[in-house]
Amino acid sequence: MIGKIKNKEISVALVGSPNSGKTTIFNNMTGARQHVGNYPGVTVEVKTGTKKYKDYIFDIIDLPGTYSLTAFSEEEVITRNHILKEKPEVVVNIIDASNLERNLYLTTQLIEMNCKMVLVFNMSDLLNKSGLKLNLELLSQLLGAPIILSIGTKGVGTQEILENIIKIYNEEFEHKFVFIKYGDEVETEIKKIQELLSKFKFFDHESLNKNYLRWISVKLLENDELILAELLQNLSEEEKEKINLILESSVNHIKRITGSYPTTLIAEARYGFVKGALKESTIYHKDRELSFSDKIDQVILNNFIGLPIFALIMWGIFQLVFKVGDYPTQWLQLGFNKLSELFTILLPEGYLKSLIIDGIVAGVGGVLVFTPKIMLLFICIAVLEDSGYMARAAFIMDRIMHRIGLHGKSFIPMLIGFGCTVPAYMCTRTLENKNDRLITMHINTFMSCGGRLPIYILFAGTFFQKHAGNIIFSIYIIGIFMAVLFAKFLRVTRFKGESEPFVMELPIYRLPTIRGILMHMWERTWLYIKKAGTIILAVSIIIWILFTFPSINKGLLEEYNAQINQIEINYLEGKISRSEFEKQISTINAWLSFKKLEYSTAGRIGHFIEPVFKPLGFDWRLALASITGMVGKEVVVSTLGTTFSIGSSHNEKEDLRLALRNTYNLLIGFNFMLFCLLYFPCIASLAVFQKEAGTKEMFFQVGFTLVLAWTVSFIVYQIGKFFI
Amino acid sequence: MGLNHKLNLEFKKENKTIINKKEKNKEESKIILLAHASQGKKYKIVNIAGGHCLISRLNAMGIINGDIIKVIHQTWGGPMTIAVKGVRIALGRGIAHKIEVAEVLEN
Ligand SMILES: Nc1nc2c(ncn2[C@@H]2O[C@H](COP(=O)(O)OP(=O)(O)O)[C@@H](O)[C@H]2O)c(=O)[nH]1
Ligand SMILES: [Mg+2]
Repeated sequence: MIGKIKNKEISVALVGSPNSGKTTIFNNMTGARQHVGNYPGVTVEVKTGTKKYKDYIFDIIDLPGTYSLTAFSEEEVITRNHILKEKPEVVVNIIDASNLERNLYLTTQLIEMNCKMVLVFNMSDLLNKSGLKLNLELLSQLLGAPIILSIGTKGVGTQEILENIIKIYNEEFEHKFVFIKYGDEVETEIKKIQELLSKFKFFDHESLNKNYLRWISVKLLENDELILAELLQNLSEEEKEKINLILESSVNHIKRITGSYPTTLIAEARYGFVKGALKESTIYHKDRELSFSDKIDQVILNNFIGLPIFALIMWGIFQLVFKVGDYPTQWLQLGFNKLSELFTILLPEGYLKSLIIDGIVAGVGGVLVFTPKIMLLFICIAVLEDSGYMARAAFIMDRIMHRIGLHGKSFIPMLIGFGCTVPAYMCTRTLENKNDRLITMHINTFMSCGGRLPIYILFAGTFFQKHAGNIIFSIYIIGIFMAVLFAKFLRVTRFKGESEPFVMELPIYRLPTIRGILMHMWERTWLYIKKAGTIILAVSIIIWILFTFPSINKGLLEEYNAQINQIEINYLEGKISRSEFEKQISTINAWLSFKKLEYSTAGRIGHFIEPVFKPLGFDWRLALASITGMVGKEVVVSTLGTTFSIGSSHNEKEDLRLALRNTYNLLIGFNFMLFCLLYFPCIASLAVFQKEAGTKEMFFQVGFTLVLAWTVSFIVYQIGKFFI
Repeated sequence: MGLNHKLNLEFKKENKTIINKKEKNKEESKIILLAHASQGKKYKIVNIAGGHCLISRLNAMGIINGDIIKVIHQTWGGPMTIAVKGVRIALGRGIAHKIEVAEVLEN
């Protein structure tokens, strides 16, 4: 140890059911800024923080919310493994005090694991309202751990928690050893298994206490495959056979005598223990109904109006995001234009100037202008989550999602996918089943993201004028249709098996706090901005290099300068008018950028791959735009601008439209929108895909969307040709 | 050990009454699937016909043999919500077909 530090470190783990207030308490303890949500399973990533208090440093970790410590979901395994492997010195079990019976079930499992614990009865404001009076002193003795009342949202009880952690750490809390019994039949079998285990060599050299062996025995009876697999790894063949034999006979024996699986009996015993402890320590109890929440649910989950209400809310969100969000987007756009102008004046002519203006400001700015819309979308989603509506949305959508072989919860990431695919991928973590999650991720690309909208606006506006709105809508619908189709397709081909059974707690409705919503929104928006600052920045520079080098030869440049001179002379001599002069300058500039592009690597690539895109009706420009579109679909429009050498003028949008109309027809325009809809959203999304699902799945996503986009566009063009 | 012993005894008593009630109820009301239960009524869970995984998950959510639940919301063909241990839980159709319940006749 370094001499200066004399503080003792205590490792602390927060464990509790989803929505019990773990994250709120974590924030209270560490002061860290972090998301607080109301949707089951928001905290899937483990978060850590430290706190200095008295002579101690607390290393605190906020583990994923779980209802139990079996091995059936990722959260459970993460939490259990942390306790088993990292051995936190003190476990803080956060309990929703308004719902003790269910929450203490997890506590019984922590008791079984012999954890050194502090019990936090959070939401004690609700406990007081509920009309339940407890003898906490007694309950604390029955459960073998100190109990602290807290109100997370008001910061009540934080200091007491810290004090009690220290007390537990120093073993100053006196209590009797707590032992949960599972009934005679199960106990007999546990003893048998425990005895067998103790004879194994593996457990011989490790000075394990008896409790650990008992715990493993219980887990084995509970059919815990992870524990079994881990155990089998360390056993000899002979021992393996023995353990398998005894397990089979024990389970069968219990089943024969009691008619139930040991799993059920053990769970019943745990609830029995909780019930007993609560009964013992209840002073006063009045039956309570969650009537207010129920009344809202009668309307929101109603057979007739539930779905329309949901649709209305979604419609409202889209109006807010796309209509209201347009204003700040325009202001940002103006800001970036001004920034470009500023750099134009400040920087000397040359490559650096071009890199900053055409590469970085245009590339990163092009992505950042979407930030206000993304922020608005995330605010809406945070309100839905924190109020408790999100779980209801999953309920309402489950019937429909079930038809396509998915879970009601899959709907939420799909919805977010309309905004941006990156947070949508991260949101799929709320799905517990791996196959469900992978399917939801793979089809999310068809939920047309915000970045694709500028392409649709340009092409639909150009080729369909009055019907642009309907055409854009149809593209969205085609995307949804594709999602449904491929959800089914992937389910029967790659990700076989039942979808996750739909069991979900509906949290009571709560008024969301502004602080919570802003924190939540910011966390996700920051990811988006970070993407613009890192990946998009890097790729923008690469794209700029591709578009700039090799540069045109001297001869062309001299020709350009000569022409410019000629025009200037003509103007000065009065041969042409001012407007004529400007027009000629713009034309010659456009000619130069076109030549530059033709010379550049990008231009060459475009020409090189043109044959691949020919059968789709795309020329080299569209081919090139599709490729740069991989960076971010936002880039497609600006690439097209460059390839048509549209000079920057006041009506550059109109110029581009005119150029498109002269070069392509309606069929190609529609086909290009379709192509952009179908292939994967962008490189940033792939980076997240890789992080969430692994390299193999990411390459599958790339391959399958590219093949699909090409095939569909091919069919549409080849058939459409005959009609147009 | 005194308190704990008492607790475990308590649990055994509880268990016995559950079994007794189970037998009584069999005479009173017939066993149906939760999927067919009607809104607003109370039921006792008699059996969960599923694998270890499903049973374990339901247990963790508070749904366990012998418990009294109330059907809060029943839809046609979609998921349903029930009240158990003071919590509202949404259950998909598939699961609702695997839970056997008997109506609790209130007097
Ligand atoms: N009434 C009340 N609400 C609380 C309390 N503590 C947390 N909450 C709310 O409960 C919800 C879930 O909290 P969160 O910390 O995200 O739970 P987690 O899922 O366990 O991390 C949030 O909306 C909090 O504002 C409390 O003591 N009383
Ligand atoms: Mg949390």
